Amino acid sequence: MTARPEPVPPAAAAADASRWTLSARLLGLLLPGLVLVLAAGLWLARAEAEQAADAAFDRALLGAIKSLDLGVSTASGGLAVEQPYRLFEFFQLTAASSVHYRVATDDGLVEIGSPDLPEPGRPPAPGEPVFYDAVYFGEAVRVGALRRELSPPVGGARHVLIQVAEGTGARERFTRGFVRQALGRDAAVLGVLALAVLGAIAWALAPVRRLAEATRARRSDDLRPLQAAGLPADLRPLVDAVNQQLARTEALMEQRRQFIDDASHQLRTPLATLRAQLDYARRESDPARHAEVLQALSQELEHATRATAQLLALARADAAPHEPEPLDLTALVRELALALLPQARERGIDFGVELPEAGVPARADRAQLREALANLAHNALVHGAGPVTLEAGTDDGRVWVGVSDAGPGLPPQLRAQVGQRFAKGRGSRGSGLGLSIAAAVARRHGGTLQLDTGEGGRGLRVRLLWPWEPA
Amino acid sequence: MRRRALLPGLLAGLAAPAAAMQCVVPAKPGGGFDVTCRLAQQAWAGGAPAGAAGAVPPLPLLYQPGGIGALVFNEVVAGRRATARELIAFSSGTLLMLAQGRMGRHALDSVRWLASLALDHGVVAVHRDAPWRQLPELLRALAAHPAALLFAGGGSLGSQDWLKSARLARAAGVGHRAFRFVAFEGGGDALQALRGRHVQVLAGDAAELSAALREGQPLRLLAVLAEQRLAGALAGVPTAREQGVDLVWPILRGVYAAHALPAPEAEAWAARLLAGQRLPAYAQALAGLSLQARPLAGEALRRELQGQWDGFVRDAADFGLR
Repeated sequence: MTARPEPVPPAAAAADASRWTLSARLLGLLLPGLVLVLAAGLWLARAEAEQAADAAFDRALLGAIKSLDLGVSTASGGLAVEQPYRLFEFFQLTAASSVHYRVATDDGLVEIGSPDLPEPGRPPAPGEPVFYDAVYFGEAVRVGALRRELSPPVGGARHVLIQVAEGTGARERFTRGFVRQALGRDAAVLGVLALAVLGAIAWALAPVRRLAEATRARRSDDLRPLQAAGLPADLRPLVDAVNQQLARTEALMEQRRQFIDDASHQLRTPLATLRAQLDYARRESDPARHAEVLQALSQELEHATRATAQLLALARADAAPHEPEPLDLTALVRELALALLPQARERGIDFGVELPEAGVPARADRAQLREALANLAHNALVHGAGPVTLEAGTDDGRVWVGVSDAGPGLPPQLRAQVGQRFAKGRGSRGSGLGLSIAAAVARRHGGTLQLDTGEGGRGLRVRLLWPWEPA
Repeated sequence: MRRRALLPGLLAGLAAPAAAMQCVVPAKPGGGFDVTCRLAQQAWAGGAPAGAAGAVPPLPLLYQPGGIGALVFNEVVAGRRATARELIAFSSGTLLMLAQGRMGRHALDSVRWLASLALDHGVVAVHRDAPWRQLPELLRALAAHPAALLFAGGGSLGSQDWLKSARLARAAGVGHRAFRFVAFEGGGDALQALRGRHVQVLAGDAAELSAALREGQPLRLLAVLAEQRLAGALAGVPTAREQGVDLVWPILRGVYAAHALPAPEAEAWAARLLAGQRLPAYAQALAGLSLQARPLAGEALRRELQGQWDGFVRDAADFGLR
C-alpha cells in the first residue's frame, strides 16, 4: 500500500518543502546575476566615460598648447613666449579648473611657466602631442605636452617642449555625472525587471494554482483523472503521474469493494444456515436429532471455514505482491498431489499425476500457483469424478499446470462465466471461488485459464498457462 | 685744444666702424636688463670724449630673450655672435645662474666683465588691490595656504627671483618646495602677469619696479631687501628688516663683452662707462630708479663678482640646487 488515499498535494505545497517559492528561487538566481551584469556594464560605462572625457578634454588641452605654441617666437634670435593668460582665462572658463603651463628648451636654458610641472616619462616624438596624468601641488592634473623642433635652433636648443596642465576636477565631475546617470538607469532597469519576473512567474504559475484549486475542491471519493487540457506542456507529466496514481488508487479501492462484497456474500449464507440449524436444535428435544444437527453444524462450519480461507486466498491473489521465482513445476505438482492423496482416498477417487520426465522449469509465484492448483484439484475431487489427474507441461512457448477429471464437466451456461466469482454449478456446495482464484493467479502471471473437455470427450480439463521466461 | 679733441674723436671713429655698436638686452623689454642697457646708454653717451658727444650716435638696444640671458651668454662664449662689438647686460642673477651651472659649464672668466653700472636691491611687490599691506601679512597668508599664492619672477628654479621667493617662503615657515613659483622671461613679463593678477607676489628688483611705478602700473611695494631704505621713489617703502624679516638682496648690474673684443678696446669701453657714471645726470638717473652707485671695473669688479659667486655656491647648497 504505497498510495495515499487523499488527493495529490498541490504544487505549491510541494515547493514548501524547501521553503523557497519558485518566485524566490528565480529572483534569487536572476537578481544577483543581473546585478553582476549591470555592475560590469557600469564599470565599462565608467571606463568609456573616462575615455570620452579624456578625449574631449585632451582636445581642449591640445588647443591651448597650439595657441601657446603660436606665442613662442624666435624672431629676435632669442626665444620669447607670449603671456598665455588671456588664452588661459578663456580656457579656464570651459575647463573650470586651474591651468598651468611650461615652455622649456631641451638644453635647459629656457624654462618659462611652472618650472616643476612634471615632464612626460620620456621625450615625446617631435610634433606628436602626448597626454598623461600627474600630480601638481597636491592636485591631480592632466598634462598635455608637445615637443617640436626649433628652426632655426636657438643657441644650443633644437627642441622646445610646451606643456599645459589642467586640474582634473572638471573631467571627474563629468565622469561622475555620467556614472550617476548610468547607475540610476540601471537601478530602474533592475526594479522593472524584478517586477516583470514576479509578474511573469505569477502568470506562468496561474494554471498550477487553478489545478490546485480544482483538485482541492474535489469530493474525497472523486477519483476521476485530472483534466490535462489547457495546462502548459511542462505540467503534463505531473498530471499524467497524478492520474496514474489515481488509477492505481481506484483499482485498489475497487479490489477492496470487491473483497467486502465477496466477504458479505460468502459469509452471510453459512451464518444464516448455522443460525437456522441452531434454532432447530434448540426446539428439538430428541437427543438423536441433536446428534444429527451437530453433524450438520460441523459440516456447515467446515464449509464456512473453507470459504473464508478461499476468500482470503482470492484477496491475496488479487492484491498480494507478485513474487515469481524459478521453480520446477513437476516438483510443485508432485508435492501437491501427495498432500491431496488422503482426501482422494477418503472419497475413493482414482488420483494420479502425469508429468514429463525432464521436469518443467519456469518462473512463478510458488504460493499463488499452489493455491490455484489446489483449488482446481479440490473442485475436481469434490464435483468431478475419477480418475483425477494433476498435470504440468510446456505448450508453444508457454508453461502450464492443470487438473483433468472424468466428471460431468461444466454446464455450457457456466462455462461462459468461468472466472467470475460465485459462479457455480447447480447443486454445488462449493463457494464458486475456486476458478476465480485460479483465473486471478493466471492473470497475475500474465497468462490465462483454459477450460477444455477431458480426454475422450468426457470430463473437464482446466489448465493455467502463462508465458515461459528463462529462469 | 682742437688736436686733443680730435684724437679721441678719431679713435672713437676707428673703434666704431661700419658695424654699429649695440647694447644687448637678453630679455624682453621692461625688465632689469632693459634698465641696465638704458643706464649703459647714458653712461656711454656721458663718458664720450669731450666735444664729440653731439656726434656720437646713441647706443642702440637689441632685445634677445632666452633663458634670462642664458641663450645670449652661451652664444658669446661659443663665439657664435654676429659681432663682438656689443655690450651685454648682466646682473647678479646672471652670475648666480653661472655659478649654478645653469648656463652651461662655464668659468667666471669665460667672458669679459666690463663694468658695473649700479647696485640694485630686491623688492617684494603685490598688486595695488591685493589684501596685504605689510610683509608679515603676506607671509601669514602664505603660511596658511601655500598653494594659493603664486610667486612670479624672471628665471626658473634657482634663479635669483626664485631664491628671493624661497627665502620669503622660508621666513613664512613654508618649505622651498611647497610654494608655487611661475617663471617668466624676465621681470617685464612677470610684472605684466602681476598686473593681470595671474600671480600674486613678485619678488623683483628696485630698478624695474620703480620704473613700473613711474609708468603708473598698479603695484604696491611691501618691502625693499636692502640694509637701509632706498633713496628716491621708493623712499617710503620699509626694509624687510624693519618688518622683522632678515632678508637683504643686493643686485649688481653691469655689462660684459666677448673675449673676442680686443683688450685695449675693452679697457677703453670700461673707462668710458666709468667716466659716464661720474656725471651728475647719471646720479640723478640712478636716484630716479632707486639705484645706488657702484662703479667698478677691471680687477675690482672681478673681485666683487668672485665674492658673489662664492656666496651663490653656498646658497645653492643651502637650497639643495644642483
